[in-house]
Amino acid sequence: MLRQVNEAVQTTLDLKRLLRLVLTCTTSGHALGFNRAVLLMVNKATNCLEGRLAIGPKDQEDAYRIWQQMSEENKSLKELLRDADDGRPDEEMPLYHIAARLKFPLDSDELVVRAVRDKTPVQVTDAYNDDRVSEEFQSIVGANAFVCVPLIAKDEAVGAIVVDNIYAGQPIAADQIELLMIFANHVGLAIENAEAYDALHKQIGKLQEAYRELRETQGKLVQSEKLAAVGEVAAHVAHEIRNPLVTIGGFARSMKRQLDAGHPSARSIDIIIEEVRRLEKILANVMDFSKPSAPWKRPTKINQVIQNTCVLLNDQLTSLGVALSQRLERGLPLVMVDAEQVKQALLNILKNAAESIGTDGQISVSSRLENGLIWIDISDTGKGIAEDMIPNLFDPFFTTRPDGTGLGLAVTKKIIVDHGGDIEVKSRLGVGTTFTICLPADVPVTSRKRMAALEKSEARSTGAGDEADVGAQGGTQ
Amino acid sequence: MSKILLVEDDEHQAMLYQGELQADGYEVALAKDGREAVEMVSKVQPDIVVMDISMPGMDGIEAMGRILTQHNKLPVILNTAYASYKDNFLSWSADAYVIKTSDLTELKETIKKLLEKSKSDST
Repeated sequence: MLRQVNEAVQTTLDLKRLLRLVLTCTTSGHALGFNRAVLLMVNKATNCLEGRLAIGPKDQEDAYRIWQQMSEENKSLKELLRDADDGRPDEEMPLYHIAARLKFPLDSDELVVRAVRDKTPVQVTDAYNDDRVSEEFQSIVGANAFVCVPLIAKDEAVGAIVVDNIYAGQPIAADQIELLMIFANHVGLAIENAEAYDALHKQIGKLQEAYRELRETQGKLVQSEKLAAVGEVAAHVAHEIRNPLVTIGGFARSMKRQLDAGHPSARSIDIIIEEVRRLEKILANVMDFSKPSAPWKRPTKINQVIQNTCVLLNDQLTSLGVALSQRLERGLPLVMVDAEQVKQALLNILKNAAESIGTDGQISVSSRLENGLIWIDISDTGKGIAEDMIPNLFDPFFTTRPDGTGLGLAVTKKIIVDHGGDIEVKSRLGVGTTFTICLPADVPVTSRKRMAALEKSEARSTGAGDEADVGAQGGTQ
Repeated sequence: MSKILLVEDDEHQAMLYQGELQADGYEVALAKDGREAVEMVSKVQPDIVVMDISMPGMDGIEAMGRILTQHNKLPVILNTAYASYKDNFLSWSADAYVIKTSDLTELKETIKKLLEKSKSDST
């Protein structure tokens, strides 16, 4: 029997399950057969001996019912142990209230604490007349006869089990105590193991968290190193290429002027001019990107920047049949940004949106204040981005377009991050894409007030005092 | 007829600019680097200087500095492939900063504007 019990106890590393098993063994008729068992453990953090779990029938009637049931079902110890391991929270166990109320400082004179401190079992046969039993303990446990057995692991007491036969009323026999002590020795070790396992588990959790953070930081580092390297290479190559392009395209233009429109070479020259123009455009992108200029941040009305950006694209979008709507929140706080850079960042997203739509569709831009941050959403009804592309979307030189440089969104991200903000993208193929930018609205209150005063006086002198706000404007048709 | 001093070390580009500007009716004198430009200014007496920056020997910014100490009213256009010189405060003393492209429209318009301005300033 004891071997079977030990096996069950020693192979359990989950502390909660272990405690449940221990008390089930203590109260099972197959094993130790006590009526009730309470398990207390030393809590080093509070320096107290605290009740963790109590098992047994809640009263005489319950006890009778359970015994009746058990003799009918005639379950083996194995089955009982399996039943005990039912995942029911400790708080729902019938005697949990007893365990919850037991808490004694380790330096107190409480009987059960003494048993732990002295590492020796204590038997009480007549609690009401026993000076060693405190009134508090008596009122919680309520048994006249009980035994406290310390749980010892590696010479240190880690807790105690208190058992009684309150319902059966029979005295606790010496051999029952002896068996309990042997059992307690094994339990102490098992608890020690489970606690070590628990601590190990927590350490592993911490390590995993640290590892995850490391990976994340490494990812960011790789990204920024990539950007720096790209910047250097791009600047060098761009400059080397730009000069000959000027000559090629420049001569092509001057030749074109000297030819009649119907000349057989006119079309070829047009192609040279067009191709050079395209290359120069790509170079301009690369050079903008590699330009190391720091943002020139000033308190800025973000809605104004959004509107100015949209105005730049109005004609182009209208001709493509793309409707651009704005929903800008009134009275947003000022943001410290380089307006030109943010305009560039927004422009790159809007251009991408327009290209993804092709013809006939919608782009909507909105701004709002939430949790002290300014949020800008740019949504389109374009063809969407495949899920596996999204992680690379902001990488330099990543592009899905044959003529793209793959720098637009990398530039956008760099600008937003340089402003202490962040950018995210959500997309569904065939439905559309939403870019969400957040920027800190971190203009200090004093300067915000000053700006407000400034704006008011500006408004008075110019007569145009409205905050940059157009509500839901009906697009560009 | 206005006279332009073109400072350009790239032979093909110099040909392009010279041809285009002459076609627009300007008289063009060519200097192949900064040192030559400084020497030529007094002799040629240009109405405007179109100056490349990156050149062997004396670069365009140094040459512009030397020219402006003697002829502080002479308009100078920095004409370069490098946008980065814009951040160099020495380049701020130029009257204009044009980034080279195959489309010479911006350069030509800048020349025209600055010549008109210096004419109206002197009268």
